[in-house]
Amino acid sequence: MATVRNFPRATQTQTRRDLAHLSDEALLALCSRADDAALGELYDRYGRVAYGLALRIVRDRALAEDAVQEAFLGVWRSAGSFLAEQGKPSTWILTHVHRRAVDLVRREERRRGEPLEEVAQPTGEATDEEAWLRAQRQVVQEALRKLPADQREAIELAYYGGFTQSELAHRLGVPLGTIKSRMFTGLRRLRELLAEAGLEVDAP
Amino acid sequence: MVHEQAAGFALDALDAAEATEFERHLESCPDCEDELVRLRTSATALAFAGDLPAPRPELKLRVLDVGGGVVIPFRRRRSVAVLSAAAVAACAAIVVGAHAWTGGRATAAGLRSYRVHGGEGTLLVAPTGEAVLVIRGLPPAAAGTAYELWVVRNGRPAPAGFLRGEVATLTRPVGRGAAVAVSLEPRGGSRRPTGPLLVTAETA
Repeated sequence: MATVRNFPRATQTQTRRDLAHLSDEALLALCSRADDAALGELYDRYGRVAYGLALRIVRDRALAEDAVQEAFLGVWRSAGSFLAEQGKPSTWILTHVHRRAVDLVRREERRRGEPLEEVAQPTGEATDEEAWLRAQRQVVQEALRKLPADQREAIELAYYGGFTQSELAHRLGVPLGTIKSRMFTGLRRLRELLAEAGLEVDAP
Repeated sequence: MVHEQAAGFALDALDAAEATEFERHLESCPDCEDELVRLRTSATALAFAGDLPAPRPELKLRVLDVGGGVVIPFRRRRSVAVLSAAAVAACAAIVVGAHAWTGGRATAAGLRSYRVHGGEGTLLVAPTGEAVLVIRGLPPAAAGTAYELWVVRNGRPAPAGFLRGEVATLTRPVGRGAAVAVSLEPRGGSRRPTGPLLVTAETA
């Protein structure tokens, strides 16, 4: 998902101005040369999404902060191994975050895997960043709603609940092969739906 | 078929042994690698589907503290002397060092914390100069006013953003030897402090 390419700059109040115009790829290259200001800029761009994702998985503020910190440490240490053909930097960074959060939640046995609840929209004045995130959320939620229920369930339980596919087969009482195909078909369909909704999708 | 594992891998829904096997398979299967990029992109879209509460500003400093020191210590000393508004009323000149030097304690990577005068809290400064002020117990700013932050160098205060709530990120770097102060100003801020310095913190 290339959504983050247009990340609003207005929120980056404390970033060195000379980094704000750099691409994510360039920032990763700087990180691989131990430029911690570049890491700060990447955090400004993706920290909020990273934290929200981690919090949703681990459901505990302190654990979520641990997951984000460890994930960005992983980004920092492996920035030199990032390859553009493996997808976008934002996907790569959020994959680090997701993995750390899932590791933590599996270790802590905190998983609950409740289905996606509708979150009350915050009221009041929205910053640029909030307005942008809200728009993103709406598009993705709408695409998820259009998925067949069993595909959506498998994907959400895996992604937010941290369940393995074997655990899901057991939990839902269906063969493992069924879970695999629901996840695969569901993710493919989600990609189409997001593209239809106008979200830029990278990779051919 | 190992190909079938791509969706599970993209969702981090494989167990450790399955994930290792799939990673090995990826090295020799460009088709799976391409497919994985697409599936990952779809999966990561889910990160944007939930509520995204803003993380605490301290998290950024933890992320930037990539050298390894995670702990943000706050060395408690004798009770903080609350500066009465009268004592510093309408200060025209700010004398850095007027208060007892409390020292900054460094973590492994140089993140420093400093004691705050005038309230319960901490000033945290990253090696880059980025800083966060945490302060508890200030009464809410009256209508039409705001708590403005200042970075004071050589006795000259420069505006550094506003404190809303208990935590604020300074909008300008806090260099070694600079001080941070908070005063109540008309909403929108002033170019120089016009109210008493309610809170101060010195670095050294």
